[in-house]
Amino acid sequence: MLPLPLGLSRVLDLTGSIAGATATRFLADLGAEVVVVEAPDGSALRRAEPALFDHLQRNKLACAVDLSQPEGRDLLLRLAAACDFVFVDAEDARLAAAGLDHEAFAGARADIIYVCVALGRDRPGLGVAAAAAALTALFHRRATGEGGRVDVSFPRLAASLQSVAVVAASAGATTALPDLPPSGCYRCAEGAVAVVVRSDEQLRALRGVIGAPEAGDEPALRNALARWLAGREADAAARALLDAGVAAQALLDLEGVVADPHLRARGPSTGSGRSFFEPVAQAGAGPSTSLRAGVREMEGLPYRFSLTPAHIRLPAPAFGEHTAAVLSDVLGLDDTEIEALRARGVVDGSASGAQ
Amino acid sequence: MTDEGALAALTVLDLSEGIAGPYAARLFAEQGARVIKVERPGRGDIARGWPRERPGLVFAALNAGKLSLTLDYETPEGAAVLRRLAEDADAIIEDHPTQRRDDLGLGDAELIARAPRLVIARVSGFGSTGPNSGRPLTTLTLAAAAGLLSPEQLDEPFHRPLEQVVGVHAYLATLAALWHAAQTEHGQVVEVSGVEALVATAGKPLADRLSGAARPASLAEGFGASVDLAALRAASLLQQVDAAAFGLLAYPAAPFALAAAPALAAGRAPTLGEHSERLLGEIGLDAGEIEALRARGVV
Repeated sequence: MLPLPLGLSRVLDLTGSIAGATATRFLADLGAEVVVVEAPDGSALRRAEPALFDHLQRNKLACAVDLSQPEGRDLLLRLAAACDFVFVDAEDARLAAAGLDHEAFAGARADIIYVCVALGRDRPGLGVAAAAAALTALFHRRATGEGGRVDVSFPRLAASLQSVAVVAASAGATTALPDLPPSGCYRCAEGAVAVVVRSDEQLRALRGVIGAPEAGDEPALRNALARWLAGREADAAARALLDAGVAAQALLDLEGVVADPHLRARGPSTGSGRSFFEPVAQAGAGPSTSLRAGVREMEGLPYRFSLTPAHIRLPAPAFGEHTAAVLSDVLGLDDTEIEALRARGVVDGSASGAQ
Repeated sequence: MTDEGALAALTVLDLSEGIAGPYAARLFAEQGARVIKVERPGRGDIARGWPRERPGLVFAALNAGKLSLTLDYETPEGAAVLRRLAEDADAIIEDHPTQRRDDLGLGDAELIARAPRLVIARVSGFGSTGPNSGRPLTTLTLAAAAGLLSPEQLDEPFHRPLEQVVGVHAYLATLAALWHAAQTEHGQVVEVSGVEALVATAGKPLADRLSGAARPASLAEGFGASVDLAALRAASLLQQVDAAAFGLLAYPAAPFALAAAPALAAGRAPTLGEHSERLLGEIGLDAGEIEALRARGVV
């Protein structure tokens, strides 16, 4: 029995970007052992975005290795040899200076899957695509025994995500939207609501609810809907439309999302009943963070597995928190060897001693 | 290197329609999986009617490279065919789970009992539990529920392809469950909630809010709205496909590039039921049986 889907996989995360950290966050949530390697002064993400760092680095282990030293580089390649995946940001100067490119990692482990995150590194969505690409490559490795390089960049992802618009434009169509009038966002007496109609049946239902059965032109229909909504509270109006089979949703702001009774009452169909937001005891994101330790909530994994339910297992690691554990468990180094590496500044570093 | 695609060993039944589920299944097809789209006789996938001005373009974009079988599996005979197809499949991607009737032997437990490694991936707007379960999955209503719409900008058109974003999540979740099944021989059901998927990739504003570090106002983030065909062509991100009814269509490349296993060139999307006969023949039905199913409107 394997309690999580990716429970036998190990990931070496050398990225410092939001997309890179998001990619390995999804793999970590899905059960992979993710080892984040930070420079001796800590990662830029840890310093600049402590709250986001906590969210993206949960369920991961953190090591600090000085890659500018030959011994540190060697240690990293030995770690890579024990990993299925290595994630890097494109044009990472630190890696380039140490000669740590795809060839170097493939030299350490011939079937390693090397995932390079390029343009759009600040986009979480690109990270999801990078995780998906990595798993795709894992199936290729299963079939052929070979690893290889995977490149993800936002322009390429965006083109695919917009394939409907692209295909439609190539056919000379001016619109590719399935939404029919009067779909759109409308102001209510209290709040605002999004309404979507995609079939004649739904259109008839909408006309029935708002009491506009006569076929009018598009502006007349929009006006009728706007008038009907203007006298109602958003959530009640959305419910009335939903009951008739029309897609509708009150607009939530950030506070509304965090307090959303639906997200808070999402007992999974199988497994334990929990809110989508899970409590995490966070020790504080590291020496240079303004965040205090304490129990905070984080959004969970947006997938529910019937056999392998996934929850937040570990808070984000402190700087270098797992250096010794990883060197010992993965590389089999003993305490004396680890202490010697630490004394020479090959592992851990200045960030661990800072305030 | 392979020219088969990374997922050539997989068979996926696409029981979904519209955008999110079909896009997820299309990602499988792009990487070489055999994807069988099961559509209702007569009407087929609702996207065959979209957009109203040029019906079928939305379907063409999202279903290229799949095989199409028409099947009414809410009948006992149709259910028997779907059971048989599921036995040979690695995954089912669906968005209308109630159409698989337990009393016709199509419940989750029965399908997984017959095919122990089967992964059933369920894509929906809000998941199967909670007060808003059952609400439809559309871009605008999901954006409203995920805090992506600003009340100050109600009149601005909203072009982010959120249903496709949910599709990427469904692809990832399905692959993870398939990987688990490959290691353990155990299939399972995995559910992807659209609104949770969007909230989970909100990034900094949500993290700041939940950590008490700041009180950002909105989760909204910009997204390129317009499509620049010339720029995509210049970047070699377009492929021409002869789509019969529509003439030559341009398809974007796969969303990511594997050096060792390039994505397949896009084929055209199937006509409704184009491969019914062949697929039914493959599971052992003879011409007489297929004709009988057709006469009764099951296929």
